[in-house]
Amino acid sequence: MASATVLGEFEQIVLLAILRLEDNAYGVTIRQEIRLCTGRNPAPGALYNTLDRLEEKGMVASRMADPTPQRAGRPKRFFTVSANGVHAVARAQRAFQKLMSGITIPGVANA
Amino acid sequence: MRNVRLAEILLSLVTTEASAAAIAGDLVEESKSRRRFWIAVLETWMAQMWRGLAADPWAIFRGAMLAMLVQFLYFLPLLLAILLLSAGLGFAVGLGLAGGHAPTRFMTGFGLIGGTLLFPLAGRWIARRYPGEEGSRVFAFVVLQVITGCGFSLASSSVPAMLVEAVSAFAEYTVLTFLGVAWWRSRNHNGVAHA
Repeated sequence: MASATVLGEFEQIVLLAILRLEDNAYGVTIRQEIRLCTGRNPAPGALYNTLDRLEEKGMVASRMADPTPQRAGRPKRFFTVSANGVHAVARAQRAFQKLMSGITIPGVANA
Repeated sequence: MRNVRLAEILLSLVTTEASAAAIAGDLVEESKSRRRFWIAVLETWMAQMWRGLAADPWAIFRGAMLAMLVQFLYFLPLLLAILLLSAGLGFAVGLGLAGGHAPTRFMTGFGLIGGTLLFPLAGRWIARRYPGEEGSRVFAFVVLQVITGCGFSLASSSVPAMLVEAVSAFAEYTVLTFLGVAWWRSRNHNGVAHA
């Protein structure tokens, strides 16, 4: 069970981006948020694969919105982070902070 | 003008129809040119197809084996028809009504045409059984077919010749099997999630 909730780096990034976007998290905005915050430009395929995987793990939930003419009549698929997802991110971040404590890396402020 | 409907149909071969519609919408919203749109569609298609293969390779392999078995079952009536007609032709040769090579030519020609038609039938079966997973299922089925075919042809031809044969067979089988998928979908799908 514990191994099922281990998050990869990109999964953490995606979950954090969804949390930041609150009610406006769908494919386009998630990619924009990741680009803005990390400087990485994830491929669409990698992002959708990760979102599907996170949904299968029960860490995000999705709902379809109404179709819009700006998107050639195609709906947006909005994502929200579930309680499981929040716990998994928190656990990963705690582990990260634990590893960071006591070491000094130039340019990184340790908590 | 981007053919969003075509992109959506392609994406629905590797994910659910609702998801395919949403992804197509995202790519329309995001892509500034037709070229970028189609590159993004292709990249997403490949990534989703690969994810389908990697998620449960054994299930994919079993599905491909099953599709080959189904194809063989479709082949049996065809084989029976070929044998009966060849026997008839052989009888005609015996009576002097046809040339001596007629049964052999008939069996080769009819067997080739019939064998080719079996791929769309297998594709139709895959589309019926694995909706939303057709991309990875067809890929696995075709790869298995090519590997099996190469195994047989390696005995009689060189490695470079076999590789050329494998590439052309892969392309041919993929197109023919997807024709079967399209056949099934055109008869059983009224549209996608947004329609």
